[in-house]
Amino acid sequence: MNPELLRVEALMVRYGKATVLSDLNLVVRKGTVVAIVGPNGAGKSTLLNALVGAIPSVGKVEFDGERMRSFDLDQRVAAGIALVPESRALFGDLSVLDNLLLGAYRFIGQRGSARSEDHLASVFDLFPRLRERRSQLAGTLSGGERQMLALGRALMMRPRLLLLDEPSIGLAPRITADVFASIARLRDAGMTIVLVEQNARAALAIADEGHVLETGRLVLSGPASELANDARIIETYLGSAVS
Amino acid sequence: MTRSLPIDRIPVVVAVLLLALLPMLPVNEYWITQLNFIGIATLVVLGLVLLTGVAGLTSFGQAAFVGIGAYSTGYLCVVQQLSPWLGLLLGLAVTVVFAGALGLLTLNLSGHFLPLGTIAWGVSLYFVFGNTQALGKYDGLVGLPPISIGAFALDTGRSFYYFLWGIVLLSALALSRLLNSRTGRALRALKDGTAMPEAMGINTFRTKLIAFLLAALVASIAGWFLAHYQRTVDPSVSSLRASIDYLFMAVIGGVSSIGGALAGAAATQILDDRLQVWLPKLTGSEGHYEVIVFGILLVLLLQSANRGLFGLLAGWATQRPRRVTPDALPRSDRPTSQGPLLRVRGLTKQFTGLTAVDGIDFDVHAGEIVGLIGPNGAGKSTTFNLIAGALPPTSGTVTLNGRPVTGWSARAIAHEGLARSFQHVRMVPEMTVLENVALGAHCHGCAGVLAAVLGLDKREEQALLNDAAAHLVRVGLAAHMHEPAGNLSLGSQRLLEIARALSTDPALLLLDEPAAGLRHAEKLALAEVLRALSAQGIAILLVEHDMDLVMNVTNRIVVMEFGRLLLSGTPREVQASPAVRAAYLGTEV
Amino acid sequence: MDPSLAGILLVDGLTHGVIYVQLAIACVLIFSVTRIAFIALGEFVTFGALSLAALHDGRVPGTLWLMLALAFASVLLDAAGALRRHEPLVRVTVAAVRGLSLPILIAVVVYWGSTRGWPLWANSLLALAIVTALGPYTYRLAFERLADASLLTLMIVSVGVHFVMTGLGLVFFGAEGSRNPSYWEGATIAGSLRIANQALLTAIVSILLVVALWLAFRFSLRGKALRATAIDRFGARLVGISPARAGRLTFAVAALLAALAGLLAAPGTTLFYDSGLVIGLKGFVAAVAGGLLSYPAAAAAALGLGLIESFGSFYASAYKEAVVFTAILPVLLWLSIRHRRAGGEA
Repeated sequence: MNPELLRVEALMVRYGKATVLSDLNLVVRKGTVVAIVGPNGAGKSTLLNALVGAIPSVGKVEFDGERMRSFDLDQRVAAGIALVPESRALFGDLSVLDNLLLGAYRFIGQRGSARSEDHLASVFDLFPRLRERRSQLAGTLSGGERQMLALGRALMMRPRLLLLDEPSIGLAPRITADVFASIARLRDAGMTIVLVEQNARAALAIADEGHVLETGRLVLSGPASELANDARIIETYLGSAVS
Repeated sequence: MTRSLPIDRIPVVVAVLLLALLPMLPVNEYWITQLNFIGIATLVVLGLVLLTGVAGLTSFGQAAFVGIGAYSTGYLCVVQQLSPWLGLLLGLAVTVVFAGALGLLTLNLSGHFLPLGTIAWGVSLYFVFGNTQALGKYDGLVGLPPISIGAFALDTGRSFYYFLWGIVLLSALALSRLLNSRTGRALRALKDGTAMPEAMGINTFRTKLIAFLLAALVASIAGWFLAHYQRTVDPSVSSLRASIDYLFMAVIGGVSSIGGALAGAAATQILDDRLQVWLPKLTGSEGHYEVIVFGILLVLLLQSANRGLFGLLAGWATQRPRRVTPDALPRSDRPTSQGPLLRVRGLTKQFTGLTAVDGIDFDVHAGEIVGLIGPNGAGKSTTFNLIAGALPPTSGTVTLNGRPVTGWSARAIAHEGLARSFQHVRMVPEMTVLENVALGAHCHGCAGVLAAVLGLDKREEQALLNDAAAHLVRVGLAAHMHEPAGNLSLGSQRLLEIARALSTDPALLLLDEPAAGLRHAEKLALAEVLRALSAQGIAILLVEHDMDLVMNVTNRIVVMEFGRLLLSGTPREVQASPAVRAAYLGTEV
Repeated sequence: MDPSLAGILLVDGLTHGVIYVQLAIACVLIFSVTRIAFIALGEFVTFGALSLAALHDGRVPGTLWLMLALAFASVLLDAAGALRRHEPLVRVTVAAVRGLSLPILIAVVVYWGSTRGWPLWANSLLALAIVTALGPYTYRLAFERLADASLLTLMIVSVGVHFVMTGLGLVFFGAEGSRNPSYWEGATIAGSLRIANQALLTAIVSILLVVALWLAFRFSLRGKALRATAIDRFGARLVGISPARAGRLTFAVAALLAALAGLLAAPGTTLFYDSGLVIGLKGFVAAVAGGLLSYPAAAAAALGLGLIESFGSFYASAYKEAVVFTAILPVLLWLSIRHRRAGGEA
């Protein structure tokens, strides 16, 4: 079994009066893809935002043995956690190339800055379309291309943990297939990935481990292949059977 | 409700007594002078409490109106040799004209453009005052007479004091009455944005203009007092510095509290005065350095207030709970048309590069609960906003009760019998639950500012509040009637929104994710309320993600995907449909 | 109006206009990176001019002590924060020493050189150094904690800073104004127009600066990182771009622009300790006319403002300021309507 990279214990997130996540426990092992699926409003984005430190949370988060402080995005980014948010957060007025180079901003002027060129080359290998469009403004890309760019920029950060928020959202099924194939390729190359997705079937197809999130709690967990065939998932998405 | 001693009134009574007795004591004239300046400043700050603290419109230009009041009376008295009372009238008249024009211009400015606009005309007026020959340019006007009441001239500090503070206290009382009235509720609803009040049928622009005019008038009166106390007028009374001073006083006093207006004015005046005495001794040189201290204080104050400017001190004096009997106002006789209550045909909304809603058709009948569901990005919220009048459609029609309401504003649709709730609860946390609900009945009343201030609206107020109470009973919140709405749990707040929507007397209720964030028991309570309402003949359309609620409470479900209608059917049909399952759970890729 | 008069007014208007351009650009820069409507920018203008005047007279300007005080306060606060985050003491001390090295160096040079009667250009550089350094420390002490505050709160804090700096200006420089010697005496004749060389120099410097800034912003990666902070703040943080450092750098550049504007304007206009407000407001008004986000629009508006002022002062000299400030209102209205149409909430 691969060593642990991320350990989450008793995570809780409140937003005003509402408790969005409660009593969440999660273990992510190196080199695996963990998929967290569930219906809308379950708290999936909130989970990732809490993991990257963008919102305050209560509970223990340990990254590679190091205790992470709540609500300290800078610490987690410096530790090597990269988030691709649902909004993609691209720099629309800058070119594709600039977006990618800014992904390696942390390494400018430091030892190892030259390696960014190699990383750029491998991102272009993974997403040839980006190489074609490298001078184009990020704001003019199509949905699928934006997703690729967002992923590419995150990869330029040389992350140890990649958090993907709904990678398939707004994408046509064929592009979704491409995106998930790329995710699987990244895992094969050794990357550790946590992805939250509404499209349960596609996500579980490439994941190693799966969890189902419903109204802020993990209600089902297990190996992804088993979970994909579990009838209880349908209930969490479409409600318990009407009498 | 048992009668209790008005404990909360005691500080007010004590303060008034102190103010009344002070001049009779052999106090040093210096304190009388200070209190006079404090009184004048308090008038302006009361206006700021209304404008900025309550209505949320920050003005850096209130001193300009002080200047208008001061210069009007100065010009009439010094140049035209007329009575100060005529000066007051002229000042008020000019203020109405200027404030009307500036208000129409400034209140159309959104977000941070508004304070920028107030800076612009505030500075502009300062330069006008300072450069007009007839007004004495930068030297101003001197030799104003004192105010005379009949034969009695208010030419001593003490005599002026009584008149001034009498007016100040009356103004505070008037403001308090105003804020607890129908118009006051509309004013208090402005701070969180215009979407909610507009959905209740309130004309928010007119309400903002009322606040703006009142604040300007009260500042103008303060200018009149200032002119006849100092017996001189110069441009510094309307400088940007003066405007910022007033804002500073309001902020220190807690910006939305009437008592705070007095406290802020007093604290600032005394601090300013003491600093002028101490700082020269400290630094060994003459010069006005207190402005440095004020600047640092202002910065530190804003930094330490975690919730920003308006999170400081809530301090709203709680009104003693009024006796209410749940008694709904008679429902309006709306002619029911044949056929569905709501008819949506070919509804489409296109944004640049994205068709969010693409030709949606469906109906909602009276007494029916219809659910609108779909995966993320399906276009449910956009459809909701199109029907509610929050967004104009690109094409298609919406018919309510036989009348075409396509593209109507939220306010107009509210008048037609559509009421809505909001995805994130929008209410006024400092108002009681009862007052929040009464907001919905705003259009059933007609008492305005004058009626409120003079206390002529008692009967209408009672009727409105009784009506609100009746709707609270309907949703099961009667027990929390007199609590501040901010204290309620989220589930109760959502019920409050429904009660408020009901008090607009709707035929159709539009609910936006009412179950979001609710605990299980609260969802059950919500379902009960919805069923009861539909049994009473109200049509309900709800956008929801919570499938358990939707499947159990709706009669029919409309499923959207990628902006289009996927399926319309009963809950069981929808659950069993393979197309719906694929839409939600996705397909193998 | 005859052409020669129009010509004079035109030159006059543009001369003032290029000063406003620098200020407007600085305002847009600050707002686009930090969302601060920095009304106090005018104070940096007067500080620059008056500091030079003091140095030229052989005195140490009070702004130097202010800069040192703010530097110490900033470094101390940074150190305290780092210690609270349990960072190693050695690293904190090294960072503190590094942070203080530049301010102390400036102070030493100024102190040593103040009585030696250095040439104008040397004193100008020193004045620039002092006032530019004030920028990042002002940001650190007044604004950094308020990174997520509302636009309104940030605006009011700017007002507070304005008060402090104006008051300090009186303490440092007294109530008397100063008129600095020209950098370039004489005038150039172009056709029938007589253009003061100082004005020409100002225009050249302004244009160079604006072009240099534009290039740096558009073509250097660090410049793009600053822009990124404004384009998508969350995205910038996610890739490790520090909004705090962006803010400090921005304020340094803006302070430089403003101080330089002060040095260039001072020979032509007498500047007092309280001249900053009106100058700053005008630059700000021009920036707002560009929607606070567009450099070319702000520059054009600033030139336009100079012209309105110049022609306005000819027709109604007493009311020229009132005209200028009233003129912004329709612009604000138009901007606001456009903002609402694009989906902003009222």
